[in-house]
Amino acid sequence: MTLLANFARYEIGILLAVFAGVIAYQLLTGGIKTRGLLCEKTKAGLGGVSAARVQLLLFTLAMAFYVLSQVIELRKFPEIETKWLLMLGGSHSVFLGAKGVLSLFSSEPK
Amino acid sequence: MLLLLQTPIAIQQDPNFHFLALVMGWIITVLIAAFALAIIYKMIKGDIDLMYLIAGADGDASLSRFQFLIFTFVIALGLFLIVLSANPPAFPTSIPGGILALLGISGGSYVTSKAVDANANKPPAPQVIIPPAPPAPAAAVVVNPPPEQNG
Repeated sequence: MTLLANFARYEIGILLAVFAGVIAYQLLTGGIKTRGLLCEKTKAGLGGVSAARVQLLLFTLAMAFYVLSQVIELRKFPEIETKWLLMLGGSHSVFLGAKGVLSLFSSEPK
Repeated sequence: MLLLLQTPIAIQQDPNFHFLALVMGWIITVLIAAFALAIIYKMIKGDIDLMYLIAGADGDASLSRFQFLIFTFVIALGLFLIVLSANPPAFPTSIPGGILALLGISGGSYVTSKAVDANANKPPAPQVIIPPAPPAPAAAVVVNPPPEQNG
């Protein structure tokens, strides 16, 4: 049983790492399309860089880094304070609000 | 599969059941490895196209999909580390509400974004034009001549 446990342990670790590695490699080399990730999307096409998208990306990366570092340090999922959840929810709300407003009021043909 | 890594005491008392659990564990472990290797091989070879992994319906990259992908990987990696850090390996006894809220915000944002996109791409409703009613025909007024009065 110890051999099986060790095998499964290495297997899942390697598989997760390979999945993450393949996706990261494809993101960096253009295999996964990232065009327009931070741009406003109007009915006329891609616009300029959107502040709502940039702040959401920064919040997302910060929260992901925080959760992962806490898991590595504590070896358990951390308790996330309500204020941080509210901030993340607010960030998402700003992004979705900007997106909804753009989709409603950009009247140019696509 | 991770459940099999836990070795309950009841299983160890029966050698036949222990052997069965061992065989089943190996079968499941090898099967999952084979599936995962096949998927990774196809991803690297290009049979599984990842070009639109984070793209929206319009073909451009979607930030809501990207953040959903990031949080999925973070939670998966975290869960993996937590399971392996226990001795013997075990699932966490509880998952804090904050983590569930984090996943809920991420997933909810993704779904809402999809709904906004679907609404934006919806073709406008056809306009029904009602033609104006034709003018009514002119009413013919027949004026009867007054009856002739005799005498």
